[in-house]
Amino acid sequence: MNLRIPLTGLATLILLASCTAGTEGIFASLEREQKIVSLGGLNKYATVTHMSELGAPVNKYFITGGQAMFSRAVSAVTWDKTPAGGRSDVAAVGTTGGAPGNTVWAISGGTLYRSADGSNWISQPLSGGEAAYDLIPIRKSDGVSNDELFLTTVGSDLYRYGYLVKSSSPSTPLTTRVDLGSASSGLAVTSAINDGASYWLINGATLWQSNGATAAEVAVTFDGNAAHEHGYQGLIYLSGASVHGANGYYLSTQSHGSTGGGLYFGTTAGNFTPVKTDVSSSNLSAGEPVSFQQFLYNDHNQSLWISTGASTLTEGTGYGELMVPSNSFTMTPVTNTNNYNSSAIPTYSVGTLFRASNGIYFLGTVAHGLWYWDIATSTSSPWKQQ
Amino acid sequence: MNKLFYPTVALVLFLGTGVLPLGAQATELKYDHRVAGDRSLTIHLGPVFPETFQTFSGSFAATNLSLGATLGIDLDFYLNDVFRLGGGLRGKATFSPNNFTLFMVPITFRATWELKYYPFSFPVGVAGGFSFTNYRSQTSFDPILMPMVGAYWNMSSSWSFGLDASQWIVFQPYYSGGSVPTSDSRIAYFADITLGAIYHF
Repeated sequence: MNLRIPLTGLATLILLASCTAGTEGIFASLEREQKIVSLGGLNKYATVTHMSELGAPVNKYFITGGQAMFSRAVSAVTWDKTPAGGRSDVAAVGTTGGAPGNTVWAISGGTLYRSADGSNWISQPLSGGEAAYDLIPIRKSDGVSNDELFLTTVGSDLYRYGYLVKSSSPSTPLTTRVDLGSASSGLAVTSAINDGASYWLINGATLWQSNGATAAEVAVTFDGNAAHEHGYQGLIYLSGASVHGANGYYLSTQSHGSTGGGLYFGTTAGNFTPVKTDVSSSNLSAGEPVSFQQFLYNDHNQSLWISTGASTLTEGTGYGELMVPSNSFTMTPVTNTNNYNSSAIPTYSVGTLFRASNGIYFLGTVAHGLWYWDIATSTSSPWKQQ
Repeated sequence: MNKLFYPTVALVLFLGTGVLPLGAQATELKYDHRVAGDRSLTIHLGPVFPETFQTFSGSFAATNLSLGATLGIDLDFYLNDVFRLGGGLRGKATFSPNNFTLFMVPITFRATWELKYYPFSFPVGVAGGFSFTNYRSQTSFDPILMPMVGAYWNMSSSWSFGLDASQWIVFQPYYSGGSVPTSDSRIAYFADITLGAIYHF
């Protein structure tokens, strides 16, 4: 029998077969895989870009993806459509702390509303008369919580003015206006922190330091690569006993062209050195760069989560994880004692990362629903879909 | 003497001589002899049972895989009556808890001994080679060992039908310096029971 043909075919098969390794072993990842549970209380294709909570202890969650707002009691499963100020379209939702209890804020039709119970909403006019645009939590140095919100607005000076929203009994109209100055770009603030001494804001490729009334642009030094200096996305300041590692500021950038986003660190705001640049992921189409977005600190293993997105809504790559003590970054979270890597979450664009005050982590996606991880119960608890 | 004695003896002799050729034929079929150069083509089809994953340090864990199926073909060459060498190509699919499919395509070389009790034969063999292992976006190329036993009925000199049972032992080591941590190295165990048809030519 002539074996030349089958042997040639076999050799060709071996040569053509390419071995593509991810960041987990195949059998090991199967060993960790758990069946994804969907509670069915929310549309599994919902987009969630904002999340907040109400109550001390927390008794209600709120979410929105820029259209309808939904809420549910912590003890319930089903999410109910929740209008604010009589309108069903809610662009953003956020929470402020402080006694007594806390207050949930929502933007609907360009108007800011607040509520102490999630049902009765009070219109909150702005002293400058601008239209409310977005609500951004001002993260504290634990990397998780916020007492205040930064309200971005849009008016005749575009996104020049913002407001600090920081009490449950604010003045009417709200007067805590922050002026980014006439030189501010036409881009809204995307991230805000309070390091205990100043507020720090970013919009476009500009870092701002603010005293709560005015803001000054701060020169930023990078790694000298101009391709990395396009579009700051996230900013966080980590400090204190709960944070193990170098205290300081972390900055994330979005992709630019075919260049992936980056992660930078500085002990002082503005002097950044690269931690990870030109991020790519096998979960995206060839040549599609990863865009870094917002931060959330996970104090269970001292890791910093960085949400990601892609230029297309149908693709994404979940969140990356920086182990703060070792300064090591991976797009596959090392906290993979649960089903994160075997779920589809690593292929989703992330709309928001949120940790409720009861310790449950939430991950809102673009067009793939809301997921949660009850890490407070066990680090091996699986991610489940709401 | 009974008058029927001679006719009865004559009948017995007559029948006896008539049956002798049949007896000679039966003797010839009692042993289905193979010679060097004979070939056999085997087709397997049957279920695969995922057993366990083992770390290289020895601890075991569940595979989380459900029952799967395998289809395969072997081509063997007899070196003598009871020993053959050959190669096999298999395909196997098993399913994860979220219905993702683990594909494995082992390509092996095998040695098989046959214990023969006509009309049955009991092949015992071992195969070694490599498996293309694919799961979602990952593919690896893993060493594999496959000991097997079988039981076949030789329906004719050309066709045999029976069952095989194989143990798959798949080694998936990862080395330092790669993108996968060495702690993710595993040995996977699967078992299959397949219906087999062998064509001798």
